[in-house]
Amino acid sequence: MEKDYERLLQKLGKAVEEFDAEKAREAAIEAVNFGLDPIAAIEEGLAKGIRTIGDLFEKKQAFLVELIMAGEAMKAGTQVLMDEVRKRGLSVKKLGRVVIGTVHGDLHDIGKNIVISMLESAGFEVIDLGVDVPAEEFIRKVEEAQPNVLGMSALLTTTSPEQGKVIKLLISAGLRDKVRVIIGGAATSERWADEIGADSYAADAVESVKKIKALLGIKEG
Amino acid sequence: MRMNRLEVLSKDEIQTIHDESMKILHETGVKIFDKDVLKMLSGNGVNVDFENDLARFPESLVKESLKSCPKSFTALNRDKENGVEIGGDTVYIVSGFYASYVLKEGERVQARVEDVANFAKISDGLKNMNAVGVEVLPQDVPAHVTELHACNAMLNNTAKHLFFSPNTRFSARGLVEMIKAVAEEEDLLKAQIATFQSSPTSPLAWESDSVGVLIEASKAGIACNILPEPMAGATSPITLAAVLLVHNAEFLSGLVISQLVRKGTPIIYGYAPTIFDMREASPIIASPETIALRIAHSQIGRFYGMPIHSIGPDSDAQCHDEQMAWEKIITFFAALNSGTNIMINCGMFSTGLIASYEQLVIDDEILGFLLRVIRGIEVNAETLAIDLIRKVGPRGHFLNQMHTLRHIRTEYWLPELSNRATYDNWLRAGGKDIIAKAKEKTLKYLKERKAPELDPEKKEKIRDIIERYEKMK
Repeated sequence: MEKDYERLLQKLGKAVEEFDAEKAREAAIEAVNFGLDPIAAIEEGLAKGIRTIGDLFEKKQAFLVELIMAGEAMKAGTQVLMDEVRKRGLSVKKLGRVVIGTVHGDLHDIGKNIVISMLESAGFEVIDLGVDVPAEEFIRKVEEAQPNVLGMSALLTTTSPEQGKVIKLLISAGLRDKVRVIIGGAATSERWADEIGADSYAADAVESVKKIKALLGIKEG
Repeated sequence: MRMNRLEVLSKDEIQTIHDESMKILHETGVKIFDKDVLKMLSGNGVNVDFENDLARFPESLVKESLKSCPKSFTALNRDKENGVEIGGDTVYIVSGFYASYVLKEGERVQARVEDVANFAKISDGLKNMNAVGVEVLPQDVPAHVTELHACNAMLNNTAKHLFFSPNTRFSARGLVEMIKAVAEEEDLLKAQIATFQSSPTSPLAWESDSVGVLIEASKAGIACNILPEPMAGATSPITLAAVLLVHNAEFLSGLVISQLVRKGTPIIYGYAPTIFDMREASPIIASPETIALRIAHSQIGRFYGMPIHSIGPDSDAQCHDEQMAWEKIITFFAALNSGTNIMINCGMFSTGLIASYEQLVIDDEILGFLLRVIRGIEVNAETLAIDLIRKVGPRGHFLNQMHTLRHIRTEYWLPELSNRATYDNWLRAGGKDIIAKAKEKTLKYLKERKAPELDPEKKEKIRDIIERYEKMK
């Protein structure tokens, strides 16, 4: 029994590590049929696989495509397991809520979507505002959804000032101390984050998860 | 398809160089300062003027030698494994060769046996190095046995195929004994674990020791790279066509000697393209003219259909700077993409006088880069990915496709040293330049790599040989 439990968790993690969505789905079905706790299956099975690939990516030993494909495999497995969570009337405790979007004038979304995928894999609830998001829309959503973190992406030096504009608007709306702000994208840097008064900057998707966890005082593991 | 080969000579021009070489060999002749060789040649139809040490070769004999020389040979490693057939399209990279100094912390210091060992150890780990040469000639052992000590250091630090350019016939004999002991084979034609190199003296002469090395190699069955190095304007006419002509005539004279000593001895069509800078009064090996010469040389080698060598990657720069980088790349590229099989000189610069650990790993990186360029572009249904383009459609992306995953590790060259991080990320990783990164890699190799052990019995045998040779002379 204990052995099967371990074997199933390993199978879930391995499917993610092998970027195999089909295998992840099958392993999730097997776990459900076996009666495995679906939340444990996500957190100790699938998520472990994504952490392994994330670590490799940080060490430059895995490629971006592998990170993304691992995320997709995790998503495939998670879908099955979440059905079971709902069926059992359980609920998964999210690490936090993140509102995210690419700033006004900027249409780049690939990087932002990878960040979303990594955040979701890590257990965050993410509200995606899409691309070309007007500053006022960010403010409205922060007011409405009361996220822990606001993430803004800018790929162009011509659009990165929008990130500063949003922060100014947050201040004038009296929301700045209610949400942590993180920025990213090719046009941004640690220094830019300091300059515009953001709380943090992340260079890539894996780092964004780490930085957001750090902002919220969540321990790695 | 693979990238088109570089060419600087037309078919007719190659034929002319060949024809004129035959005339030089027949009419002008070659001086050979070895009476035994002259006797051997005389007995085989060569017109020998013993008084002037001059040999004039009949065309028929040269043609016969071109026929009996094999089109390829199989290079084995120290343990008689990992055979690579050298010839045709093979690329076979050998680390550097016979520098006198090592650049350490920006300072030029005399090479020691320990350096030979370290270079061999690093080369053993570098994935693009197929074979290991005597990177530096150690100066901390008696001069007459310096190559034997180098050989010992190499055998104990790498299992890769070894390259030597024996300075003397005496040294060649010692090396042959050592190689035979390690290969456990009397006839090394059956176990090509090492290759020799020998150079005539331009223009058109063979010193007694140089021809002696060629003879020792041929007798032992060791492949020999015949490497004429006429210096344009000094030891050959200044024009490039004449450099090729003098080179070719010298090469062919060596080829005949080797084939008369032993038919079927593998000979490599070698070349160290050199010009003479008349302002500095110094030989130069990475000038644009030498690039054209490297390409021409490969073309002539292919005309003869034998394994081709030329030196590279080379640089005349004296420190790790931009000149070094561009010269390294262009000399390497010219030789690689003109069909040269064997290239020797990784890690070296200062016109071959200095080597550095850092440059050795940088050259390995440059090589990986260039090999990918030359591989070209493969076009077929899988690589065109027509179905995938249809599936993903406009405004989609390919970062989550199995096709991307499938090709990421094979379609692209993966740098080990080159920076590809953004400015911020580069700075966060220490803001290191290529030399600093290369140094880290060499230190890692030297610290972590375990040298592939040489059989203790063989170890003792080669130590005995060195001891015996030390007492001679």
